[in-house]
Amino acid sequence: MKLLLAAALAGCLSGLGAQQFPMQIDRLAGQASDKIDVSLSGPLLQFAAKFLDDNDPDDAKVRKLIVGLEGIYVKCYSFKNANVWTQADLETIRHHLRAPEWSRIVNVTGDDGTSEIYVRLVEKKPTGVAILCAEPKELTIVNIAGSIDLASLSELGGHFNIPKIPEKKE
Amino acid sequence: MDGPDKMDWLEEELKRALAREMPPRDFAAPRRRPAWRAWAAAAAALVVVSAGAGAGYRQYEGREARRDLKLALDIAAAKTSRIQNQLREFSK
Repeated sequence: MKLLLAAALAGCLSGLGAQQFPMQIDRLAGQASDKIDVSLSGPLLQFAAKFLDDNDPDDAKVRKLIVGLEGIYVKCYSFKNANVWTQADLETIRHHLRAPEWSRIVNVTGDDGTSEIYVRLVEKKPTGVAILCAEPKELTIVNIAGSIDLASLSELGGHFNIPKIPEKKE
Repeated sequence: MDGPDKMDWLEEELKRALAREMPPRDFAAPRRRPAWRAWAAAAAALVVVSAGAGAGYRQYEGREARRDLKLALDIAAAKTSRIQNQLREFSK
């Protein structure tokens, strides 16, 4: 019986894919005033790529960036009030990123929240990136399966809808 | 045949040619085509409409997937950019 349960659990987890981790926080989903949930697995990603317009410079950048990607998963919860999310909510996500193949490469904590970047390494090769960004009124979790250049990714900021966050002047 | 005889003959011929004739019995009845032709036409129309709708829906799905892809990358890019700025702030 235990073996059957273990097999069933393994089957469920394998359905998520080796690089994808559970990102859902049900408690916050119910309290968010605005939610963005994008889940593009490999086949859907390739399908979307077919509709990119190579004559559009932005689309051309996207096409270049997604070469080698196996999936992109984003959850973004926005709240009307500050401090809706708790450290326990963040721990729910961090728990999945404590697996040996994940390494935290950036951890910035300040007055305006916490930001963390994790990289998944398999045989010393980057095979995934996770971003956890907890701001007073927003919690964002990003999981990119596959190899991506973070510098090129950050250059995309502001090209589509979301403006690039300006650097603070002293 | 000359004179009146010829006229009589012509008259008879004209009468015969222009005489009122009864229409055939099924003249007013609607012409019925074989049922299979109607079904075949309907099936062909359905195939054409379905193929068109399918292609249209696939285009719609593709545009939606492209929009989602750009939105996902946009959010990821904005957060990466934010973290980079935070790191720059800390390094100053």
